[in-house]
Amino acid sequence: MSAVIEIRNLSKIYRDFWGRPKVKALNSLSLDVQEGEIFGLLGPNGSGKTTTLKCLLGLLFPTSGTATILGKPSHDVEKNERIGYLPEESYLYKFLTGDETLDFYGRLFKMSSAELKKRKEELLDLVKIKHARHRQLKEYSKGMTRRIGLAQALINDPDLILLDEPTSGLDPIANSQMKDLIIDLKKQGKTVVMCSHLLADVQDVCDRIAILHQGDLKVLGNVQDLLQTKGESQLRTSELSEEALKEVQQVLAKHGVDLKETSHPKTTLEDLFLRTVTESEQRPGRRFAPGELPAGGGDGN
Amino acid sequence: MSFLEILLHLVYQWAIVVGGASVAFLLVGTVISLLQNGSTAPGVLGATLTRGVLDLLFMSPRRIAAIARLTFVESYRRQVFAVGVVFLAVIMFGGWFFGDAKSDSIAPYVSTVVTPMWFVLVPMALLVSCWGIPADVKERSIHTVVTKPVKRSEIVVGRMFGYGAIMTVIVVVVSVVNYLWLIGQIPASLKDQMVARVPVYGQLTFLDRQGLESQTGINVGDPWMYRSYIEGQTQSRAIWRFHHLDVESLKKLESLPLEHRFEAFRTVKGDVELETRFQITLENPESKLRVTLPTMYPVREFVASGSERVIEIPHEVKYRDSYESNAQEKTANIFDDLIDSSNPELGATMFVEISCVEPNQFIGVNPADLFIRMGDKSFTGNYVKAMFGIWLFVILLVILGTTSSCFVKGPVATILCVGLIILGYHLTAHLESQRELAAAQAVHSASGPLEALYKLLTKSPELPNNFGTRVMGIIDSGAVSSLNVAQLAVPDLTQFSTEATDERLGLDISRGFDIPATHMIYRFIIVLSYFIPMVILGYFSLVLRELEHK
Repeated sequence: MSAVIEIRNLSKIYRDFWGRPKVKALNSLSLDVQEGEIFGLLGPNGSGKTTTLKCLLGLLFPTSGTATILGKPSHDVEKNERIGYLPEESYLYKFLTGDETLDFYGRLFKMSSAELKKRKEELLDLVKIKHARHRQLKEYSKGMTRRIGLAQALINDPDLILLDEPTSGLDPIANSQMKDLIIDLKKQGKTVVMCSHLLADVQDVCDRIAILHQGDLKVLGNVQDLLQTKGESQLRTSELSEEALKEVQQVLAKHGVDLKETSHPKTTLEDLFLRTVTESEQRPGRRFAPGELPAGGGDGN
Repeated sequence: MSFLEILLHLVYQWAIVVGGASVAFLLVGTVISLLQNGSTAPGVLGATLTRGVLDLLFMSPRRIAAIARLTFVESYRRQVFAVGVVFLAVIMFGGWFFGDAKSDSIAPYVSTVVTPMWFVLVPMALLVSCWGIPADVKERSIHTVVTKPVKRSEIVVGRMFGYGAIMTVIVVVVSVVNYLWLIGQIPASLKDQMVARVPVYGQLTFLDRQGLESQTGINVGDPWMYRSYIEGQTQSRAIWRFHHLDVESLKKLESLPLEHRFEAFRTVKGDVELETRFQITLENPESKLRVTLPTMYPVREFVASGSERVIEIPHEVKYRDSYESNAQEKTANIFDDLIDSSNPELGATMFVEISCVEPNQFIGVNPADLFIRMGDKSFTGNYVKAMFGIWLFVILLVILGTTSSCFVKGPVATILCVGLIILGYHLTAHLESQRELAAAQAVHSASGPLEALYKLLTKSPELPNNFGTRVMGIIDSGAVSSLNVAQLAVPDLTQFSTEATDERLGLDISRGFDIPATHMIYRFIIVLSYFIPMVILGYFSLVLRELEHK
């Protein structure tokens, strides 16, 4: 695998009107992002995640250091042919409809009209916004805006996708779909870099992460390696009876090992929520949109 | 100067201004780059300039069109077209101002629709063009554009085209509505004024009371210096010298039409009740043949219609070459006998001399008060040209506004453009009058600020001749040249005026004069000459700044 992003000693100092240093947002950051991986940039607010992304995209100028994307310097607009970017807030043109939004961004790339039309349909399907394609974005909910934002980021079928807080503002279902989509993108061989402070999301999808704090790189590595608790083991079995549990304890004691905890494993709240809503969708209740009544006019229960 | 010479002169001035500005920006850029990058500054600067040249030369029409379309839709959905309501209001109630007191001129009707166009279109062009990019930066929507393969130059040009398109639609719609209103409202009795007269102007000189040549006529005490006067029954004359006459076109006319608009100044020493009249003498400057027309024409100063002030001189004119009662009547052909074509530099030339008939009365004249009226053109065509002129002005504002908005926020960009408009209308005239005043008042002039400071401090009228003063002279000369170049950089907006001035009667369509095609080309060149450098300036403003709202 080759590095699609190379950051070397990247520093960014925000200055005031008189050029005096105000905030040191990034401090000599160095890291690589490899082709085909999902890379997470973590950190609390103000840690330098978004600044890093903006330096990579040429929206901000580094005070020192270099950043190359796909082998090109960050200020080179040609690199953008192969990049997709979803900003933290969906900074889109609110007066355009969903359809016009994709059309506009698509026309900024070297795509034929037929190709653009096809891609637009695919993306509207993918982000499930086809029903609202002719509504202006100012009428969209936050989740819909995020989804159309993602669609514009993918309009050029990019090799590298930069996502700034991709799950921000999404409900759990959309959140889950977004994560599935990110994993799908990886399966298609694309590289994804995502910034987030929602740790569970990052844990679910990222291969490698970097944790930033106050502009400094604190941790960099493989998620599984970093989360592994050294010096402890975990067994997972089907339901154990009291006797069986005692015997296990005895066996463990014989080998000089302490049994620290026995409990029933818990599902996550996200899983519970998704399961409930999915089941509800399969057996719809009384709420139907006009024209969507099931055949026979019954309530479907 | 011929049109081509004027054009070359303008290109020369343009090259000086753009070249001077480029050198200034390059110097500033070098200094900033040296401060920021140290020893690598030349490389960084070179790379930036190379990238700039490539970005400006190789723009994608598709992306420009996409951004222009976005800009158009943005303005449309933000209901910029609501401005049409303002015009509808003006036009709907415009007739109220006239009531039953009908004017004897079409000028008030034309002004009713043309003047509000300036008041509405100018602020609108500024608001539309000065606020778009800053709003894009503030709302960060520009982030999703510049992270696509879009060059900053394409953003600047796309925005300019988009704003230009929206303003074009507005100007076209307003022009059509205004035209329909004019057609409907102007009374039938004034329809003969709805023409585009094509005047051929001459140069005016005078003979004083004693018959001596003079550049000005008699001063009758009128504080408005627009007209100069000749006195009746003296040797005082006003002489128009018409050069470069298009004889072939004149021959196609049935007669030589001379239109006049003189002013009578009556004194009680004469008979104020009598109509003041004038007489015309045609002269061939080469053969000295003078033909005084026998008719005495009244000064019809209160007649609005130009057609009623036209004197038709037949191709063949009869005259007597002496005042003797038995002098033989002769015939002269205007083209063969009274036009001199011997001097190729002046072309076909004819002199027209005006004398006042009534004793102790005066006739006031201005160079534009007598002209040969070639075949009239259509009012509609002239109206289209006037609207095209307004459109060009609006486009110039869009160019200036968009560029300003690339480096400052919306309100500052608007103020900057308003300042440029004020300067554009008044700077040149103001500086000229200041120079004349300074030249008239200066006892000890200075070649520049350093010399002036030296003379002030030393109270010495002369500079010693040494190395220091020579250096001072070079710096002064550079400073004054820079100021002159800076003055040239301000657009001469008086060229776009639709209001008649003393020098530019022809640009006011309400007066019924044809707007010369050369003038339209001149306006177009002004717009084009600003478009190219403004795109470059806008591009570098966007490239060299972080597009992050702070």
